[in-house]
Amino acid sequence: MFFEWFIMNLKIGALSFGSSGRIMMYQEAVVDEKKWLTKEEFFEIITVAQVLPGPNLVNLVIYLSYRLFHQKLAALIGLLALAMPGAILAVLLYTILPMNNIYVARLFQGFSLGSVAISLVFILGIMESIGITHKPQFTKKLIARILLLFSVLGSSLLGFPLFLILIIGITVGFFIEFLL
Amino acid sequence: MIISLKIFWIFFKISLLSFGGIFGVLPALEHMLVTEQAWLTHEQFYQSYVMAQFLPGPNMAMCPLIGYWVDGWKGFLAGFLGIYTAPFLIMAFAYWFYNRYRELQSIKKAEMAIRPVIIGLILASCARLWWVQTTGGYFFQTIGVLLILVFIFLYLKKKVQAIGLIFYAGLSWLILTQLYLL
Repeated sequence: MFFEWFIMNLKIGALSFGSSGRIMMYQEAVVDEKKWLTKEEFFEIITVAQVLPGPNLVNLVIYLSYRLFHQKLAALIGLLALAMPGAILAVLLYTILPMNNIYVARLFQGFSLGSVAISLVFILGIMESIGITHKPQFTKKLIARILLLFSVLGSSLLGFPLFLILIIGITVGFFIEFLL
Repeated sequence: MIISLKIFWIFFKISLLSFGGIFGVLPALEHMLVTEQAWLTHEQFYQSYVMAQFLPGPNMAMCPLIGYWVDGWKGFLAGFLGIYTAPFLIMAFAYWFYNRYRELQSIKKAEMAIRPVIIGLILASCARLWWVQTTGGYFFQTIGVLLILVFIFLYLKKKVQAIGLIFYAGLSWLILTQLYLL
């Protein structure tokens, strides 16, 4: 099972681009294919990985390893398989490949667009579970939507620091869940 | 050896400051590496950032690369360990904590409550990626959106898998943009 985990991470680490698209790849591998976790559990893991400091993809892999295998070794294997190929490639390519070549640049831009498409599919799939579309109380639904809008705009157009968004989001979220 | 330790320490601090990805800490990192240590030029710093964006794996890949520039393969290792040690320990703690308390109602509720925020952050990172990667005017940006929609459709129809999709998207984008320029 460790070997399987190693290969899975290597595949995602060496063949994928754009951080948010890879969340979907993990879902595809761990939830849809292997059925090691439910969609609900998987999303719980993403939330933890996003809220704590550190690169969120790396957090996700480490936390996922712990949840699946309950061992440090698994987390180490996952991390190395995910992060090593890109890091070594960076050094190798830097000495070989002309990154300012227009064709190479366009190809990589396209990879990123593909990963945007995958992330959006992921979000479509998860919308239901987060109470954006199905939530019993009208106010809760409204607040969930406002929070969503706030974090989208805040982190893109308005350029708020992520830390601020998380703090405000968590405070409002808490308040609503406990008081309404 | 001293230099490698310094590299490790800088990236260790940076990893504690970073929430989400490397975007938020770029200015701090630039300040430490370019202004304080004078290991790199501004030019080199941004080059490493662009490289890491292009490469597979987490975009933290720029850290080992910078380490390599400063101190060879020793620096590479220092950069790698520096940026990933803290997340490793933090997630170990999170696992322990969550495992112990996840059945508590308040923890469950808190987790539910911040889900919309998390989704929002992922959406925003999509928007940012699309905006940065489709430079060259409105035409390119529109084509970019169409490409994304087509691939969403194909994925939902189960015509492609995630990894395949990314490669096809890369090729289509290359071909489309070159056709336009002809």
